[in-house]
Amino acid sequence: MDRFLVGVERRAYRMAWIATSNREDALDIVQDAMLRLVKGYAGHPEAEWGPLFQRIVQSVIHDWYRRNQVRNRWRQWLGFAKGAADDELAGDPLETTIASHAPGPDGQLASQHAIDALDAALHALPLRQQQAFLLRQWEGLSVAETAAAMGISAGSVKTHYFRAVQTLRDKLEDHWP
Amino acid sequence: MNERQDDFLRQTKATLDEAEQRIDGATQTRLNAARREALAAGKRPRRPVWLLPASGLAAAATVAVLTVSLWQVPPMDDSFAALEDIALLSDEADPEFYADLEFYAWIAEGAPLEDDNG
Repeated sequence: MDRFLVGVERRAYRMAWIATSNREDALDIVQDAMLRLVKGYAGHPEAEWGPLFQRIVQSVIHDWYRRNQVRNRWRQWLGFAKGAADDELAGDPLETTIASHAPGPDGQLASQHAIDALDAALHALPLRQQQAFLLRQWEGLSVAETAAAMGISAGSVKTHYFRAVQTLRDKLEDHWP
Repeated sequence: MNERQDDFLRQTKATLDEAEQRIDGATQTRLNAARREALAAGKRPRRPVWLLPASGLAAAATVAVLTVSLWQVPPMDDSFAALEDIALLSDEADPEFYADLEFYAWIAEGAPLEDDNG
């Protein structure tokens, strides 16, 4: 189990980070998912751990997202909306990211620019689109495997993935080297 | 068109791979600690639910505060949404909660989580 977790933890962290844009929240999500896998499925055949872990990570991220939405709603009702309003006035973070990282001659900088721009564009997607894109495109899961990991239908996966690709191309294609 | 999209998708994958490689040492250390903690927790016997006074009290306090707040804030668009909020916030993040059999039943059955709102 230790070897399995070593092999999947970094990608799980990256997915959680893209969803939350917060290191501590992302680490909590990964640890929570590891706990669930170890406690619930350590005795299962090793071949099942991968799909199970994906399913658990996506459900923990989804739970985090719902809780965060609820927290923000309650904060606004309780009168703490000023910060959120200020954030809205600050503009689109993706536009800021793209504008502030002009690709330079340094390959390292250009690469970091691409990472920052992609992270920002992915973070701006609705969560379901973000998850469908990462599972299909990055993890290389099939539509059926993605549907199982996300707990939705194959048709929904196709729709979310299609919309994600269109949005990402619109936002990034002309800016990337 | 398709070729251009394929190039774009290859580039996104390469970028995501690169970002994974660039995870910093401090974060990797935290991931190592999280893994060790998860593995250790898996070896510990589970505590009965009635031995979780802190999480129980926290959940009860959350429910109490939010329930009282329901009568003090302007009417919500959907009162059912408020009740869902209470349930969601009151089950906050105790790892033992996830040992709940209901969760395992849900995940084993592949219960649908359809929603387009994120």
